[in-house]
Amino acid sequence: MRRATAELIVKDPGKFAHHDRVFLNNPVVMQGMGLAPLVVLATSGQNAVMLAAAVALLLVPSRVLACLLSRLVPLYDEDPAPETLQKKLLPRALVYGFSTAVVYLAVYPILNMLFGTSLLSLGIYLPMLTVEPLLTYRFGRVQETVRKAVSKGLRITVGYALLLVLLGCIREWLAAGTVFGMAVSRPVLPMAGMPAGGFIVLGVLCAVWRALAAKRRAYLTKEAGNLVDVHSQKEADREG
Amino acid sequence: MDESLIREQEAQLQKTGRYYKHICFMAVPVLCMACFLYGVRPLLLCGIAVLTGNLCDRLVSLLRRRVYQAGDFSNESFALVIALLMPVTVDIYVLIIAVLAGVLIGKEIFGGYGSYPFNPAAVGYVVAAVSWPEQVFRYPQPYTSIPLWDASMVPVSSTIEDTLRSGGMLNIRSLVLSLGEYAAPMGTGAALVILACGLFLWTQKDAHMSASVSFLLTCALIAFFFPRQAGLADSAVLANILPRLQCVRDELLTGAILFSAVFLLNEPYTCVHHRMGRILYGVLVGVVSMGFRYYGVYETGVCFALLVVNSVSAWIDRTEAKLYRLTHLQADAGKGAAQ
Repeated sequence: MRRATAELIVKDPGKFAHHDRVFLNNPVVMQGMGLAPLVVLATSGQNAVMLAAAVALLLVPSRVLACLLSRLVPLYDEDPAPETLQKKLLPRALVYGFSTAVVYLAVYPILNMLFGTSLLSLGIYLPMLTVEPLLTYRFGRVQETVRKAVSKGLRITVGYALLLVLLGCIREWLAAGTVFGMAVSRPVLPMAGMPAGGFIVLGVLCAVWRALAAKRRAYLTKEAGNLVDVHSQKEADREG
Repeated sequence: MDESLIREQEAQLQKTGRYYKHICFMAVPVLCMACFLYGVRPLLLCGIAVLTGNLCDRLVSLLRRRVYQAGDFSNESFALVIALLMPVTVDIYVLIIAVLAGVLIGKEIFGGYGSYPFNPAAVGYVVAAVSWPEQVFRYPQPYTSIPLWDASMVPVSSTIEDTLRSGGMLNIRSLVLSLGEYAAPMGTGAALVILACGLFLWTQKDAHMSASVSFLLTCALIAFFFPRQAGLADSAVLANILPRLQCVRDELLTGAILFSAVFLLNEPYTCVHHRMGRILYGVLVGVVSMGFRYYGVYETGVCFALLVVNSVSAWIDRTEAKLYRLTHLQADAGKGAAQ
C-alpha cells in the first residue's frame, strides 16, 4: 500500500471506500442499482456476458455525452434550493435519458454483430437499459467533469459487469448444473433460473459480498493505520 | 449478535415456543397414518427433515455466536410440516433443499425466531414446488410398496387435481377421502386425524378458530357458489344442492386445504393477532387459495396464497388497532360530552 493511500484511508475511510466501485462500494451491492437486468436476465453466464457488454458499451459514452449536454442546464450550486432543484431536474433527467438512448442506437448494431440472434433472449430489458438508474442517476447530482465521468463510468462498469457475470454463472450452475454450457453438477435449485430465485440468489450474494467488504475495509483501515504509524516513527527517528 | 435481540428472542420463545412443540407432537399421529398408508418411507423422510432443521438451527447458532436453544422446536416443526406436504415418493434431496430454503431463507435470513414475515414452511414448500413440480405434485396410490431409499420407479399420478381441473367430480367415497386413502401428499389426506389434531391445538389455545374457520368457510362458500365442475356453475343453486355439496367436500378434503387450516394458518408470527383481523386474514387466504386452485398451475395453491396474504397481515393488524383506537376515542369523547 502506498503512503498517500494509507494516509487517505486513515484520514477518511468512508471516502476511500466510496471511490472503490468494484468491491467496497459496488453499485449493485451497496446502492441496489441495476437490479432488473440482474434478476430477470442474468440467468446464465452467456446472458450475463451479453448484458455486461451492453453496459460496458453504453455506460461511459452515455455518461460523457450527458455530462457535456447537461452543462446546458447546470445545477450551479453544490447544494441548490429545493425549488431551483425541482426546476432543473426534469430537463436534466431528459438530457441523461436521451443521451443514453442516442448511444444505444449506436451500440445495438455492435451488440448485434457480436452476439447475433442470442441477443433476442434479452428481450425488452436491453432497450430498457436506457432508463436504468445505473446509467441515468447522475442527473440529480452535482455537475461532473468529463474526466470524472470517464473514470467513474469505467469503475462502475467493471463493478457491475463483475457482479453480472458472477451472478449469471451462479444462477446457471444452480438452475441447470452448468457454467457457460459446461456440465458441472446436477441442477441444485431450478428455481434460481426464475426471477423469484434471482432475487433470493442476489440477496444471498449481496449479504456475503457486504460481509466480505466490511472485513476488507476493517483490514485496510488497520493496515493503513499501522503503515502511517511506521512512517511517523521513521520520520521522528530521522529528525531525532 | 446483538444482546437485546437475543433477550427479545428468548422472551418470544417463552411466549410462543409451546406452539411449535405442539405442532411437532401433532405431526406424530399424521405421520403414523402416513406410515400405515405408505410404509416406512414417511418416517425416514420426516426423520431426515427434522435432522436437517435441527442442524440448521445449530449451524445458525454457531454463525451468530449465540447459545443453541434446545427448547426451540420451530425449525423442527417447519421441517415436519414441509415433509408432510410432500408426496411419499419425493426425492430426499428435494426434501432437504425445501427444508433448507424454509429454515434459512424463510426464517433465519429475516432475523431468526419471531422475525419472519412469511410462513417459513410455506416458503420451503413453494421453493420445492416451483423447482421440482414433477416431483412435488405427483403422488403414489396408498398401500403401494414403496422402496425406502429410491422411490423414483414407483408409479405416481395427479389424478385428483386433473379430475377437478378438467371439471369432473371425484368418484371417491367420503370415508375414503376422510381417511386419506387416495393419491395425495403423505400428511394431508387423513382428514379425520387432521381434524383431531386441530381440536387438540384449539384446546391448547395454539390454533385460533377465527382464522381457521373463516378460511374453511370461505373456501366452502366459493366451492359451493362458484363450482368449477362442468355444468354446475351455470345451474340454479337450489336445484343442485347435493352436487354442489360434493364439490365443497372435494375441494376442502383435497389440495391440503384442511391441513393448512390446522398446521400452517395459525403460525404465531405470520397470523394476524387481533380477532377481527384474523377473520379477515382467513377470508383473504381462502379467496386467494381458491383463486390459485381455479386459475393457477399448482394444486397446493394454499401455500402460495399464504405467502401472498402474509405480506399484508402486519398491515391488517395495524389497521385494526388504528380503527379500534379511533372508535374508542370517539366513544370516550361522546361519553365526556354527555357527562
